[in-house]
Amino acid sequence: MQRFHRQHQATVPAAASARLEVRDLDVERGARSLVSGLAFDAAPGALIQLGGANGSGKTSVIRTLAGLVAPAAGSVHWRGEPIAGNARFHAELAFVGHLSGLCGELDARENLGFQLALARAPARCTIDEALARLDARRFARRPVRQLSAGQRQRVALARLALFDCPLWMLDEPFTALDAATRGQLESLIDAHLDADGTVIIATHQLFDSRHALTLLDLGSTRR
Amino acid sequence: MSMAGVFAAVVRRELRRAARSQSEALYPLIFFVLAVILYPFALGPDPALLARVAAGVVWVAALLAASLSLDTLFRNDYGDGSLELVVLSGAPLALVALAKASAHWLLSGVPILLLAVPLALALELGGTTLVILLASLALGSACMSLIGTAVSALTVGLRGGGMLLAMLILPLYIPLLIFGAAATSNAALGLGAAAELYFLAGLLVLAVTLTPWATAAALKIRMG
Amino acid sequence: MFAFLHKYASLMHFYRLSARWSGWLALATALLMAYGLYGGLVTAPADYQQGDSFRIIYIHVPSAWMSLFIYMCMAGAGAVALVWKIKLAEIWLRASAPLGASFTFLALVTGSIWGKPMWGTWWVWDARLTSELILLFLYVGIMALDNAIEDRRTGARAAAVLTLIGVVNIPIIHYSVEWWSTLHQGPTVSKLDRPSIHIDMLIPLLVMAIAFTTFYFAAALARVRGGILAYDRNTNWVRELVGREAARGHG
Repeated sequence: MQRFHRQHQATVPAAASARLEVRDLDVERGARSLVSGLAFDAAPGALIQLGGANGSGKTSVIRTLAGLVAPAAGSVHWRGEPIAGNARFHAELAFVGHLSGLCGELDARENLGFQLALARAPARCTIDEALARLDARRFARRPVRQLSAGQRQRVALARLALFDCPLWMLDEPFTALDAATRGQLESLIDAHLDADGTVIIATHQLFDSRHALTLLDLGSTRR
Repeated sequence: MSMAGVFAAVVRRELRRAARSQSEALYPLIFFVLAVILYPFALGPDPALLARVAAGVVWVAALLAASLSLDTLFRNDYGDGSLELVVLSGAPLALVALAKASAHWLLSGVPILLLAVPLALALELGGTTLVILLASLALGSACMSLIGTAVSALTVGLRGGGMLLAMLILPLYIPLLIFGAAATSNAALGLGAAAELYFLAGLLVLAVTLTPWATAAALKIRMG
Repeated sequence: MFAFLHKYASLMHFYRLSARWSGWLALATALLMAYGLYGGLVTAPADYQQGDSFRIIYIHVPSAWMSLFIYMCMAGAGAVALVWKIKLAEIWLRASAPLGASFTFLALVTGSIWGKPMWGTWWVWDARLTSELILLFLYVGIMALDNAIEDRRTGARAAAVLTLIGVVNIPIIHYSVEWWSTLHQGPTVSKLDRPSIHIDMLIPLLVMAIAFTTFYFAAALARVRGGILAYDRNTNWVRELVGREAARGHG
C-alpha cells in the first residue's frame, strides 16, 4: 500500500476548466487497501502515468478515476464537479480498459457505430477515418473475434480517434501492439496533449513522449 | 445520442449478434420443445390427460427456457468489456435495460409463442383455448424478459451462473405461471379468462415501469 | 439531522454503543419466552376442536410473522444501503437473511407438524403455507447471491436490490397464491383459519411474538457486531480492540 503526499502542479485559474482533481483517494479491492491518500491534479496538457508491477492495483485505481467503482474514501472531481452521475464527465472521458470493449460477433465498424449511438461525446470524424488513423481499415469488416490481439487492440483504440474527448484514461494500451503501432499510439497521445488534452495511462511499460510525464508509482511489490 | 437512437442501437446489436451466432440463439428454443415433450413420456399419451395438463406443461417449459436464455443476456458483454463501456458512455441505463429486455423478448419470447402452437396441438389443446394460451404467454413472456433482465444483471459473471439465475428468478415467475395457467384452464372449461389476462397485463405494466431501474442499479453495482 | 444519524451509523460508534444491548435483549427474550410458553402450553385452555395439538401455533404463528417482519426490515435496510450508502445498513441486511430464512423454515416445519394430526398428511398446498414456501426461496436466493459475490460490499448491495425486487413481489405472490388456492378446491383453507380467539389464547401468542422479535434483534445484533469487525478489520480501532482482547486472553 502506498501513501501519497499532495502533488504540486501549476495552478490554473477557472474552477470550471478541464481538470481532474483527485483528493485523499483510498482504493480498496475486497478487504485489501490498494492505495491510500492519493491526490493529484491533472490539468490540460498533463500526462500522468500510473506505474507499478502487475497486481499493484493500477486497474482498480484507473477504474475508480473513471467512475466505474466508488472509492473507499476521497473524491474525484472533473471541472469542479464530482464525477458520480456527472453527464458532462461521461461526455468528456474516453476510456480504453484492458478488456477490448468490443463485441466479438460484430465487425469493427459495427462496434464503433454502437459506441457512437450510445455516447454523449461528440464525434470528431467518421468511423472510417478513425479506423484509418489506427491503420485498422483493412480488417474493418471482419468479425472482431477473428482478429489477432494486436488488431483488436487497434480497433479498441480507434475510439480515441473517433470521439472528441479532452480526458483520456488508458489501461495497459500498449499490450499486444507491434513497434509500429506503438509509435502510432504514442504520436496519437502526443497530438492529444498538444491540443490541451489530458492523458492518464496505467502501465508498467516505459513509453516515449515529447511531453513531461508525471509518474505515480503504485508500488513495486506483487500483492 | 437520442433516446430512440440508444434503444434502436441496443436492439439492433442484439439482433445482429443472434443472427451471427444462430446456434446459440436456438438452444433455449430446442430446450423448450424438449421440455414439453418429456411430459407425454412421463405421463402417458392419453389425450384426455394431456389436454388437462397441456397449459401447465407449456407454461412451465416456457419459464425454464426463459431462465436459461437469460443467462447469456449480459454475460458476453461483461466478458468482453462492452458492458463497462455502456456504463461509461453516459447513456441512460434504464433505457438500455428496456432495450435489452425487448431484444430478449423478440429473440426468445416470440419464437416460444410460435413453437407453442404445434406443441399445444400435440398436447390436444386447440381452438379458443390455444388462443388464450398464446395471449397469456405473450403477456407473460414479456414480463419474464423484463424481470429476467434485472436478475440477470445482478448475477452476470458469477460462478454458479445459469443455475443461480434460475434459482433467483423462478420464485418471482410464480405469479405469472398462476395467472397464465389459470387463464388457459378457464378457457378450456369454457369460462372467461379476461380477469387473468388483465392481471397479466397489469403485471406487465408494473414490470415495464419498475424493472429497468432495478436493472440499471444492478449494472452499476456489479461494475464495481 | 443527517449528521446525527451518520454519527450513529459510523461503525465504530455503533459497535461501542451496542456492547450491552445484545445481553439485555437476550435476557428479555428468555423472560418473555418463558412467560409466553407457560401461558401457551399450560394456562391457555385446550381448543374445543383440536385439543392440545393446536398449541403449536404458539411457535408457528409468531414464526410466520417474523419471517415477514424480518424481510421488511431487510428491505428497509436495503433501501437505506442503496440510497445513502450506509455500511451499517448493508451489514444489517446480510446479518438478517439467515435469521429470516430460519424463521420461515420453522414456520413451514411447525405448520407441517400442526397439519399431520389435522389432515393426516405432512403437507397441504394451503395458501399461507405455499406463500411461506416461496418466501423461503426468496431468502435462499438473497443469501446465495450475496455468497456468490466475492466483494462484501458489492454483495450486500446486490442483495439489497434483490431484496427490494422481492419486496415488490411479495404482495403479488401472496395474492396470486391465495387466488390459486381458491381456484383449486383445497381442503384446508378454513381449518387453518383460527375461529374468534379466546383472550387466554391470544395473550401468550402476542407475548411469543414479542419474544421472537427481541430474539431477532439480539441475534442480528450479535451478527452485526461481528460483521462490523470484519468490515473495518483494517482500521486502527479494530486492530487495537483485537490487540486488547488478545492481551486479555493471554494475560
